[in-house]
Amino acid sequence: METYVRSKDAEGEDSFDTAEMDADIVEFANFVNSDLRELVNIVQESKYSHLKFDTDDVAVKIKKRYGVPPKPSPSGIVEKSLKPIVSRYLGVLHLNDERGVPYVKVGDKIKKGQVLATVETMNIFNDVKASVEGKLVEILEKDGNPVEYGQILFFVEV
Amino acid sequence: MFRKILIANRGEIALRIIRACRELGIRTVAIFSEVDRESLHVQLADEAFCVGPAPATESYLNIPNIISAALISKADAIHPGYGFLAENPEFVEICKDHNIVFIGPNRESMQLMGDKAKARRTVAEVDVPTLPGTDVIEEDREAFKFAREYGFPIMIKAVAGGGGKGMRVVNSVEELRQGLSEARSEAFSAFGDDRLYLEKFMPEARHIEFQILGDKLGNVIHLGERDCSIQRRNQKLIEEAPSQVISPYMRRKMGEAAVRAAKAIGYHGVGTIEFLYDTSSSRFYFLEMNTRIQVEHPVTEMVTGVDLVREQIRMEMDEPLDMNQRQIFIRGHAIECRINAEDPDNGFTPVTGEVKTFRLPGGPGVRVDTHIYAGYKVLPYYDSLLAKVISYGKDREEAIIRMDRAMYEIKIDGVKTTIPFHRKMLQDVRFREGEIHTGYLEGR
Repeated sequence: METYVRSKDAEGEDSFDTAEMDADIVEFANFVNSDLRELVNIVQESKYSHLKFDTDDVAVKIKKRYGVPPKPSPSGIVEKSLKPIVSRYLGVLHLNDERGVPYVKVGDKIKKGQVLATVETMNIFNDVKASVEGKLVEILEKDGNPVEYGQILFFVEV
Repeated sequence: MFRKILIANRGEIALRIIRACRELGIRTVAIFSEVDRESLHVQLADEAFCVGPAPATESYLNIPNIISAALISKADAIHPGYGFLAENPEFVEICKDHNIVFIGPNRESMQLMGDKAKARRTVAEVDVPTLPGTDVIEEDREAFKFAREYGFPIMIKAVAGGGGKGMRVVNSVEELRQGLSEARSEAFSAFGDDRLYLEKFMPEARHIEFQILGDKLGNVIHLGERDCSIQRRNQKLIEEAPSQVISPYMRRKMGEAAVRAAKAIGYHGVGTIEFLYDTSSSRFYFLEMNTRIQVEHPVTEMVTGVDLVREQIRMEMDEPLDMNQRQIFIRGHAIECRINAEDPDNGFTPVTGEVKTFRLPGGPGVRVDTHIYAGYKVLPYYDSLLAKVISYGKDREEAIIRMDRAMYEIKIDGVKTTIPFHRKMLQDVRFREGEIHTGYLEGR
C-alpha cells in the first residue's frame, strides 16, 4: 500500500511526500491522522485500486501496490472472485488493435488466453492475455499510458 | 548535458549514482524488481519503474524492459553501476541504437578488455609488463610446455572470466591436467565460453590496482592505487589506499603504465588497471582492466578528493578533464571494509534473512555507503554486499583506529555478516603492520 499526501501551503507551492504508511506520514498529516488511517483501511478492504481526493488544504492519494491482488474480505464473495490481469512487460499500453478497435470493453465476457491489450516494449508489441475466464469489470490504465512490470491492467470477475 | 539518467542497478551503487546525479542537478530514474519495491534507491530516485520479478535475469538484466523504461521516462543516459549490465557489449550497442548514452566505455574497448588474453597482448604492445602467461590454450600440451618452462604454481584463468570465477591454482602436472578440464566446464557454465589461458601464479604478490580517469579528448590521468590484498577466494574484503608497499617512484612508474594501457585503447571515463606487485623484486605485472566503476572506488575518493562517479558522468557528457596529473595528490589514508551477508565461520557462505537492527557507525573520518535499514530483507537473488564502511585518517594508523572504532559501533542483527571477521582482522598484528599478500587468508 502506498500513500501520498500533499500539503498545499500558503504560497501554493506543492511539497510532495511519498512514504510507507508509517509514523512519519501520520505525523506529517497530523490533521488527518485518524481519518487517513481509516481511509487506507477502506481502500485496502475494497475492490478499488486507488482513491484520490482533493480539498483546499490537502490532496490525498491512496494506491494499492501493483501486483498485489485486492485483499479478499472475509465475507466478500464478490471480492474473492475478482482476478487481476497484470502486465509482464514495461512499455506503452495499447488498448486498441492496429485498426483502432478496442480489444475489449468493460462488461465483455472474456475467454482464457484472449488478447486484452498489447504492451509496446522496444517496438515489439507483446500481448496481454487473459489468464482466467469471466467478465471484464474494470480497465485500470488509459490507452497510450506507460505501464510497468506487475502492474494490474484489468479486473475480471470470475 | 544530461537532464535525466536511468540507473540500471540496485543496492548501494544505485544510491551512490543517484547522489552524484542530484549534486549535478540531473534527474534520476530507478528500476527495480518486484522484491525491491521498498528499496532506498526506489525511494530516492525521482522516478521508478518495476522491470520484472526477483531473479536478476528477468529484472536487472531484462534489457527490453530497461530500455523501454529509459525511452518512456525520456532518460538521456543509462548508468549501469557495476555487475549486471556494466560489462555487456551487446547492451552498449542496444543503448546506442536507441540514442541513449551508455555511461561507460565504448563497445570496442569493453570487448577488448573483456577478452583477457587479447587485453594482455594489447597492453604488452605499449610496454606494460604482463605476467608470464600463455595465449588461449588450444591443446593441453601447450599448458604442459608452459609449466616446464616457468614451473609451478600456475594459475588457470578463463578468457571470459571475472569475479574469481573459472580460476584455479595448480601445483603439479596432475593438478594441471585435472584443473584444465574442471576450469573448462566451470567457465562454460558461468560464461558460455570455455576458453582458458595460463599465468604464472605469485602467491606472495600483492593485488594493486590503479584508478584511471579519461575524457573523450584523449586526456588520461591516474588517481593512484588501491591495495586489495585481503581477499577470500579471490573476492575482495578489505581495500585501502595508498598501498604500504608502493613508493612514490613505483607509484609514478605503475601509474604511467596504467595511463599508457588506457590510452592504447582510447579509453574514456573511469577504469581500473589491475597489477600484481611482487615486493621482493619490485616488479609489477598487468593482470586485467575493469571497464566500470568499482565497488572499492570510495577509498580513492577519500585520498584524492575526486568524486569518481561525478567525473564519470561528466566525461560522458563530453566535458574535458579539469585537472592534470600534477594536480592529483594522495593525502592521508583510507580503508574500506565490505560488510557482506555471509557467514565467516562457515566458509563465507552467503546467508539470507531480515535485518532486525542496523546501527550505523559515524563520527570523524567514517563514511558508510549502504542501502540497508532495519527491516531490510536479504534475499538470495542478488550479491551479498550490505554496506561499505570507509575510514579516513591522516595516516594508516589513524585510518585503522577509526575503522576499529567503526567496527565497534556498527551493529547488524538478524543476519550473519563479515563484521566479526573485520574486527579480528583489525586486531591482527600482521594487518596492522601491513604485511599482507593475496595468499594471506588462505594461509592462516
